[in-house]
Amino acid sequence: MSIEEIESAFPNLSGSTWRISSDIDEAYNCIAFAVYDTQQFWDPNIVGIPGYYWPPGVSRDDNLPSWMAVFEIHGFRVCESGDVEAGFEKIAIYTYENHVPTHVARQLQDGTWTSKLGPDEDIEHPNPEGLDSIIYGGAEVFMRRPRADQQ
Amino acid sequence: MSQVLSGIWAGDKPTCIWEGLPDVFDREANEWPDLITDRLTIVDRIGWKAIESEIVPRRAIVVYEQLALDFDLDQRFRQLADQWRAETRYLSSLSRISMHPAYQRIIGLGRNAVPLILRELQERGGHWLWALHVLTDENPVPTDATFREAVRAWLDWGREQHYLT
Repeated sequence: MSIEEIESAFPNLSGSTWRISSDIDEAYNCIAFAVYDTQQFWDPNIVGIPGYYWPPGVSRDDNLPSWMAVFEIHGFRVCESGDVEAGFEKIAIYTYENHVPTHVARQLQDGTWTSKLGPDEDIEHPNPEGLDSIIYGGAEVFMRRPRADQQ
Repeated sequence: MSQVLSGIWAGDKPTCIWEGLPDVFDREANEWPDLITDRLTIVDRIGWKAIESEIVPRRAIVVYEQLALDFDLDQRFRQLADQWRAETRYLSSLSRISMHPAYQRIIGLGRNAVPLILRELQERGGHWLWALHVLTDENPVPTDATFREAVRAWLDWGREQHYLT
């Protein structure tokens, strides 16, 4: 995708210091990328068709509690905001107004955020609001865990 | 409306020469005469109909006819696939990607869409695993495969079934 196409889809990125940080790779999606997996496409909806992954034991209901449960397995707990907190790594789960989850972004050590856009590229963006849109809704839940180098 | 096309096999190591048929028919032949049977099977599978044929050892001439509807299939698939890509490119949910109306309409094209889907998967990638599984009732992918491994398995299957060269 071009910068113009992405900014057209996510108007809040316009004028901010965001960048495309990877090539297109449809093998993984935002949930996988949030926990550093770039080999698998995580999705609760596909059963019986190999090529997709969902953590064993987590409900396959495609809803906010299920998505949160995935990240709880990886040590994340709900926190109040996406503000930088020393020693913690954060994620933001985006939802539509009806709380249906759509996207996950991960905070980088410098306080900026990174996202995998569907089957396309990864991008880095200055804040979660950059991806607020009719496509993703907005960030509803923030979760945090101690950074690996802090454990 | 219909179109008549012809194909000829000739020579000690038969080479298939087609005019107007999809690329899948253009590869070199290594076996004779099983090749003829294989190719006729493929032709039947994607909707071509042999209206005249002369098949003897080391030589075969077959005239095929395809209804205009089938030519439209390629164009219709292209239109739907492009729409699907454009409107799902930012989505992470397979249910929303696969339940998109254009994707469902491609599934609705039926098994004749399988060669087109495989060619699309080979050339442009995409999340076609669900459509392939539904349309073929096959599952050539190991249970614990990653997406990339699953794509490779489907493309291998497509070659084995002579849908792809």
